[in-house]
Amino acid sequence: MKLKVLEKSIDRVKIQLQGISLSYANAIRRIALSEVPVMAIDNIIIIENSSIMYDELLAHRLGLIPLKTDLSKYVLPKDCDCDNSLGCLKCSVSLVLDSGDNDSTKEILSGQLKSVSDTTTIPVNSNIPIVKVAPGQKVSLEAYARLGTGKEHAKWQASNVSILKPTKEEDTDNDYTLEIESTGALSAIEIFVKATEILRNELQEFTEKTGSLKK
Amino acid sequence: MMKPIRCFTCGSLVAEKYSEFDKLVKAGGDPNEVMNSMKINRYCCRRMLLSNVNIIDHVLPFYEYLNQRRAEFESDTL
Repeated sequence: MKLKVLEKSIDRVKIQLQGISLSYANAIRRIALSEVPVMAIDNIIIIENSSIMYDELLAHRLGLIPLKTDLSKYVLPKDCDCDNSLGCLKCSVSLVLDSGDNDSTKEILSGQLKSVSDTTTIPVNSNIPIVKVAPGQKVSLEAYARLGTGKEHAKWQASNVSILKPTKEEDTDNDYTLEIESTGALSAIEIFVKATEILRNELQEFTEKTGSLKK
Repeated sequence: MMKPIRCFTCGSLVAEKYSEFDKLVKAGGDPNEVMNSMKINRYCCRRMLLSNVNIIDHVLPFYEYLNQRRAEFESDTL
């Protein structure tokens, strides 16, 4: 088995996998798409919204903003021992957004979304427009971000593009190229490493289960 | 209503690129070349920028005027 990184940047990685069967390589590709957890806003408490955008639409836009994720700090809500619907410090991050008063029409950007409990979980880019408010209109809300997977909702998809193809024209000697592109929440290489880790854990669990059948 | 945050098809972030794209195109740039230079390569993401209409910009002037009228009305009654 041979691994070779052909291209590497923060949001894109191209890896050549030699001596790995197609099904195994494809499992990594699929896990990168749907099972690597990332942070996204999930619960929102709207304190005031007098903008012309409906609460639902505002909530949807906030959910789609990719947040920088530190996987070592948080656990998935289903693995957390708290029973709180909004989560605890181990499984969620709270953020606040307040447009304040304005004399002219202005755009509210993702940079104004401030993290309360953890300053590292912030939007990947501070220039994402969320809503536009006219003078006299106000938006004030509390948002709770949590880890989730792409299976549940596309906003939790760690990689937006994950492509597997044979390195050479003809598919003969188990030589594939995996291309992963990230939304910025995790770096592309982190997604790849996490995907293999998840696959390993799942296989381990499966082996343990089948082992218990013998008894 | 406003600039879409992510591409509908692939899910990559497009919202933060829109203002730069808009500025360069309004300055006379060719949309095709502007998108190439901004490294928006897939056609799913390219149509997100090309086909977007900011309806919110058509609606907000009414609220700006409303606010202005309200201020005038308040100063009249005082």
